[in-house]
Amino acid sequence: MNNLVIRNSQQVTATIEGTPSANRRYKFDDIPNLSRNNVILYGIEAFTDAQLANTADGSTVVAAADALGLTVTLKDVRNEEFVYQMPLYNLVRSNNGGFIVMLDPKIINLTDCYVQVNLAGGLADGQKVVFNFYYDLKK
Amino acid sequence: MVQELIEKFELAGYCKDYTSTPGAKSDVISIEIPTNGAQRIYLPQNSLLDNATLTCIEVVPTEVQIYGFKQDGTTIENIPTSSLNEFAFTLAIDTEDKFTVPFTGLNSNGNGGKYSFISSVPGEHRIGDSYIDQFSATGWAGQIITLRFWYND
Repeated sequence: MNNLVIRNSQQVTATIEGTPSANRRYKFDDIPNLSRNNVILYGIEAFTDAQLANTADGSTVVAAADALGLTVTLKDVRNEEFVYQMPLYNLVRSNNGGFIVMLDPKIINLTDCYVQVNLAGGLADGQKVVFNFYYDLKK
Repeated sequence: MVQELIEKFELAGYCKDYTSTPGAKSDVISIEIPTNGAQRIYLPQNSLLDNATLTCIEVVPTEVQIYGFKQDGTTIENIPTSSLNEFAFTLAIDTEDKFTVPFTGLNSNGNGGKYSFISSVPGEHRIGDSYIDQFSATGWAGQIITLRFWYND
């Protein structure tokens, strides 16, 4: 059984805007460092407030209980949804016995990736869904 | 198919067996938190680690080791596990951040005993440029952050 080796990471967020409701999608916030199509994503980890209380800009991170109400869809540069509606809960490391989720290395289309609400629960305007993308630079 | 993917990952250095040794040797950096509330704390310079291949980083909460060591040789309480979601560590060189990991990810005790494996060769990091961010307003001044770095020469 293998676990991921961290080479480079970038914190990525999706911001809950307005009143959250079932089926609403929130696209990932733009990160120039990851938007130049020169990085290969090979692992992903999600954080709730149990792992990270606030983001660097002071925003509130979604509560651990609300992770169950969110899924994640990732798209590559060909706009293929190579990860579709994966439960956010499954991306939290401590929910997986300490294993970080590894992905078949791909160049991603960051701003077309999104989180989707299946149950609004305690989600609120301005909260952030936070991820660490583990990547390598395209050689 | 999965085996092929794992072999590709291992070849690229993206993963390794979770039971692997975290590293050949380890060193500890202890930092006394200077003030209360949100802040950035730079690590002290460490040329030994600058010139080593870093393979793993751990944060040591008080539930694992009650006291950490201050530079004057005295000891004081390590930060508790309950505070770990308020901190993150960034490995950097000059002004370039290599990676940022919340302390909760560096606590093997909270991750089923799994270490946080990393890979950074000399020239890709400088400990004196690396830092810890506290994102909360909570007061932890005076307590110690103990970071254990595993490395290979």
